[in-house]
Amino acid sequence: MNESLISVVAPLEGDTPEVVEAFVDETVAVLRTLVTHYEVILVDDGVPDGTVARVRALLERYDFVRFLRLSRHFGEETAIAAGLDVAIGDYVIVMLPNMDPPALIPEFLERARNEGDVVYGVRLHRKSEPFWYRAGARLFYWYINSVVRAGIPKDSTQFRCMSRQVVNAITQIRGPDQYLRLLTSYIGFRKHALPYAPINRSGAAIVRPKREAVHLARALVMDHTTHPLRTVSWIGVVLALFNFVVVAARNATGDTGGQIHDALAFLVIAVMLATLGEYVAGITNRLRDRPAYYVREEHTSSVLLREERKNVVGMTS
Amino acid sequence: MIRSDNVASVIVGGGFYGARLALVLRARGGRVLLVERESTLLGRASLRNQARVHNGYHYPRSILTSLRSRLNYARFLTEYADCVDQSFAHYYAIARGSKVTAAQFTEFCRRIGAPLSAAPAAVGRLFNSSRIESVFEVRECAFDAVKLRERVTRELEAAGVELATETEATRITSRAGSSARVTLRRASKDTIVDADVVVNATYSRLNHLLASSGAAIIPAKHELTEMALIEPPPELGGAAVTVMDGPFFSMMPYPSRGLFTLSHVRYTPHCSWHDRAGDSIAMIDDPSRGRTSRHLHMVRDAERYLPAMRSARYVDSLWEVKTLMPRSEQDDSRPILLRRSDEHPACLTVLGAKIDSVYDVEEALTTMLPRESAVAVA
Repeated sequence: MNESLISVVAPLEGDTPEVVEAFVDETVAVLRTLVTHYEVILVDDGVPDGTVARVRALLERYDFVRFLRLSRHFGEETAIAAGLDVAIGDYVIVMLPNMDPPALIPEFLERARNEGDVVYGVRLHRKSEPFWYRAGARLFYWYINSVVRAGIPKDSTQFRCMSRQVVNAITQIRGPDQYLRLLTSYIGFRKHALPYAPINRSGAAIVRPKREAVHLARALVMDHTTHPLRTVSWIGVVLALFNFVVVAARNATGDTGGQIHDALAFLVIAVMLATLGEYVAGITNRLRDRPAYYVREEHTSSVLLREERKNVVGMTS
Repeated sequence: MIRSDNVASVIVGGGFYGARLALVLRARGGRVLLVERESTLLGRASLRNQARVHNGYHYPRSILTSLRSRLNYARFLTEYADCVDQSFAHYYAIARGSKVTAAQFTEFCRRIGAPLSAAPAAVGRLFNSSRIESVFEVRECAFDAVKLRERVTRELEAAGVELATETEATRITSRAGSSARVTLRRASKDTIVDADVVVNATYSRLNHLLASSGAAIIPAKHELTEMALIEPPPELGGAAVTVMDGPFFSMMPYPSRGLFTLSHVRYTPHCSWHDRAGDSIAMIDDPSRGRTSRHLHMVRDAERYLPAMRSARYVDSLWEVKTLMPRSEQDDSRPILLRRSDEHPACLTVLGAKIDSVYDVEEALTTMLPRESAVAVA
């Protein structure tokens, strides 16, 4: 039991040095109580320079910390995928430093070991989020679970613990977008939800920017299903039929008006084209078949123990 | 036992280099004293390392180093045939996304004339094909540090090199003419010996002696390293495996203990530091103290490339301070260093990274020694 290796993967994006330091302090303290062998992989997906310097300082303080710096900001999902690619643990725990409490690591690990291959976190509440964000989230989960049945558990977060088998399955799936929540649903295996109350280290509102939230929702849907494409196609067919009937009736009566339904038809066609365009864009991205991310540099812990520093001979010159 | 206070040469450091250089200097004539801090020769870095005799494969980005390495390999094998293990197969696996592709590696080996063939299919299947592009069989052997110690000790004795073990050279001072005076400390008792040539072959402690002698230090980089000693997975049938290039690992026979070393670019160095002028010099007596072994990290990462590593059994770790020149980190050429001290012209400092580079060191040393002492050869 003690001979397993635990990896913690944490993407860093815009996190302040204080948040990262507090996260690493707590995580290492918790891991040390559980196992002898662990690693904490911090993936730099665009953190400020100040944070980079402080993270480098952490590598001199704690053993078994790895700092993977991506070549640019690739997004949270890709940063997590990069972390999973290099993680070596028997169990890999994904966490967001700002909102996931390290104190829950033992519980996640315990349940992954005893009950299932994946244990994922579910928010107990979304109290800290503004109304529009909560409404959007509700709409998203309704669509993705009731209509297209993607099986993304409602309010599930990135906080999760996966067995090596699951990590191997997930890292085999290569693509431009690696949405962990979708992939977890796709690969199967035994899954368990673990409800928890997210924390908020930074104190700032923890919502994604609107544009990013919309992009994420769109990508999660389109990556999983062609439902929107088929839906708009059928709407188009129905409207075309309706149009044919109306035009035929109008010709019969000699009525030349009808701008409203022309406009309606144009709108539907525009929506169809836009949807089609999204899928074509998706195919194009996939056909390009280029690496999902690039690693600029990787650093590993280099801890010079205090005794060693103390134990020195002075220069005589 | 120090019998006299006036010798031709003092060699500080009884590792493989120090012992060899003692023999070279003894052949030139005069009394030679070899000083070693530990109780036996070849007990530190010469013993606690990968035991690989390099045959050039390791440096696909530096043809010159590789060619040199091939020459030294042949020479070392001829000279120390009784101290090397050549009985095992050695496989080099090229990882996908590594700094060298299989095609480049093949071409590189052709150019340096190193034997290379495709590994048997049964061996290739042991590797994870999604991470490994290609597996080759090469010729590269391991030395037995204990046999090497026994042989070198015999040779030193036969040549009449005087030996002072459990003795530390604490200070060098210059004397009139071009000779030097070395202060030796044994069981807290100081003695003094004068010599025409002092060779500092102390490897990771090279700057201790220089600094305490008031000489300019060498801007060396040190790494505190751990190599796991393991019983290899039976599937490999006693073969050595090196996965390259980039964050790679290597599993080699370690003949003196009948085990295998497992080293990993990411996990073997626990920490690193530089010796810089003006700073105090860090001193590490027991490299393993206060350290948590990373053997499980090494095995788990190796498993991702070679799943059979799951059944490797960890036995022990070899801890040592590894010293390299900062420059060699950049061009990958692992040069040797031989530098005469400005402050103490009789003192020469040597540093090398590979056991077989000893020939380069000997060659360089010979060119730096004063001609007149050659006359003294009996």
